[in-house]
Amino acid sequence: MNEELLIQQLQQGNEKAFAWLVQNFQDRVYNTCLGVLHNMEDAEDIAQEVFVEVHRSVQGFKAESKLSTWIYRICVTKSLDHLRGKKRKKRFAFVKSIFGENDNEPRIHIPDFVHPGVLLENKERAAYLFKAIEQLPENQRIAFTLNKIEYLSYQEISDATQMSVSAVESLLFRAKQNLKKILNDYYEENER
Amino acid sequence: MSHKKEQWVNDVLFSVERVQRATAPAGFYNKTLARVKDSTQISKASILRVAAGIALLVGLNVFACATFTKNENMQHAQLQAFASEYNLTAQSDNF
Repeated sequence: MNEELLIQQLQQGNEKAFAWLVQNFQDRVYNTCLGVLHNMEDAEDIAQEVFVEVHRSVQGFKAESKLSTWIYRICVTKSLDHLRGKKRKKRFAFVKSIFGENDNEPRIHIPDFVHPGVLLENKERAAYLFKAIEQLPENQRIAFTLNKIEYLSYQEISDATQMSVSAVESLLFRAKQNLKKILNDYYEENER
Repeated sequence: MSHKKEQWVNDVLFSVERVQRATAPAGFYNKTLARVKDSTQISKASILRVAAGIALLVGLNVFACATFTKNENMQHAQLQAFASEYNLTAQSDNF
């Protein structure tokens, strides 16, 4: 479908156009959310929220960027908001535990995440990589995920994150360096 | 030893090569559509709630103004009655 026409129909509230949009973008959005959040339930929830937001704000979309870029942008923002919310909750739980509240609540063990699209022979190693990705700063995590999990080009990442291409290149370089450091530590810990 | 570590780190870094895109769970579109409908209903409900709040606020203000004016008129009438009973005039007030 022609993008201009699709946007026009979405802005007119055409349900068929919205259905087409969801069906054609759902995997891209879900995959990106999953790549960032490392949790299937959260990824599904946030991916749905992304489309709710698209539906709500498409009236204001001025087509200055590609529709996919705009959707990726919403996707990154929503995923980061969710991650930040989770971190806040963790900090709050920690403070509560210091003051001895909720000591009787069972502590849930979160299993190591492996992306479902990873080849079977790589799953064990990929679990280490995803664990290491969780320790990266937010912007490096986003750039790495968009590039390695969603296969976006530097230009596409730059459009989605509103950073320059050189900034994206540098982020990816630093992400790889940091991942190497973290993985070195894992290796040494396992050797002991 | 160091070579082994380097090899392992590189293997881990390359473990996401050729990763396939995850597919959205079944029923994703229907769930999304339900949420879209919910969100529009919620926004309508919240608009109604805000409108009711504003109407209540305006109503309370009108009531307060009316009560205040009524009290002021009553006080003024009482003062006038008192003044006429004791033959007080504006001049004696100034004095």
